[in-house]
Amino acid sequence: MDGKPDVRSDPATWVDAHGAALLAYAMPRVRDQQTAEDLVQETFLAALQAANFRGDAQERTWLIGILRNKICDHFRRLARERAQPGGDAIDVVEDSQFAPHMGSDGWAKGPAKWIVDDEALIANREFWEVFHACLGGLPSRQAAAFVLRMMEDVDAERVCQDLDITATNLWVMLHRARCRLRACLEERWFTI
Amino acid sequence: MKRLVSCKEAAKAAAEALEHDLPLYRRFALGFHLLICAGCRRYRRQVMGLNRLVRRYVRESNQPVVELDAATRQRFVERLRQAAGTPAGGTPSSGSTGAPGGTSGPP
Repeated sequence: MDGKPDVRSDPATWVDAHGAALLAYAMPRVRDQQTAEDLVQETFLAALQAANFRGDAQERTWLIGILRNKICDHFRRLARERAQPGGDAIDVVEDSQFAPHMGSDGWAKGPAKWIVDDEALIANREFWEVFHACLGGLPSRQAAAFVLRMMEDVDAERVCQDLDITATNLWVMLHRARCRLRACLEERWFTI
Repeated sequence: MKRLVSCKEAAKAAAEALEHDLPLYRRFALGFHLLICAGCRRYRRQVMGLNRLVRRYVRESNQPVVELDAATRQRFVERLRQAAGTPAGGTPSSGSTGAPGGTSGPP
C-alpha cells in the first residue's frame, strides 16, 4: 500500500497543484495573510501524515476539508483564549446605536441609505478589504461566532458547543456582530 | 404612534429572525414595528443584504485567483520536505536553498 510516492518524495508538486487554491480558500475566512498561510501549511502537513491519501481528482476537495477543520479549530481556539468571564453582558457598539426616544430606545442616528449592487460589490476587492478590517475589529468571540456560523456554515448547535454558550447567547452574539459590521461598513464604505 | 417594542429590540429581533423562527408574539411585535418604522426596515434590509453578500463571497471566492508568491511557495515546500523526512542519503532533491529545484519544478 504505497500511497503516492511522487508527492512524498517531492511535496513541491502538491504545493504547486493546490497551494494557491487553499490560500484563496483560507483568506476570506481568516483575517490575515500570515494566519492563512499557517493554516494552509498545517493542512499540507496533516495531509502528508494521513494514511488515506488518494491523489486523484478528489484530492482538492479532501484538502479543502482538512483546511476547513483547521480554520474552525483556529476560531475555536481564539474564542476560548479570549473568553471573558461574564464579559458578554453588554456591547458598547450596539448600545451606541440607540438613544432614548419617547420613552424607548430609538435609533441614535438611523441607518444611512446604502446603495447596494451585489454584483459590483462581490467583485470589488477594496470592499472586501474593508469588510475584513471591520471583521477584524470585532471582539474575537463575536468574530468567531460570525465566521463559524455565517462563513463556514457550521451548525448552530456545534458553534454553541465550541464557544461554550447557549443558543440564546449565540443569537445575541451574532446580532451584535452584524450590528457592528453594519455600522463599520456604513462608516467606512457606504457613506463615503 | 406608540411602539410595542423599541428600535433596539426590533433590530435584535430582525437579526434573530435570520437564525431561528421567532415565537409568535415577537414576530407580531417585529412586524408591527417594521410597519411604522422606516429606520428599522432599512436596518433589516441592510443586515439581510450583508448576509446574502457574505454567503456569496464565501462561495465564489473559493477559486485560485493568484499564484503563490515564490517565497511562500518555498516555505511550504521546505517545511513539507522536512516533514516528509526525505531520506538523508541519496536524496532526490539536492538541497540547494534558493532554487525551486528538486525533481520536477513548475514549467
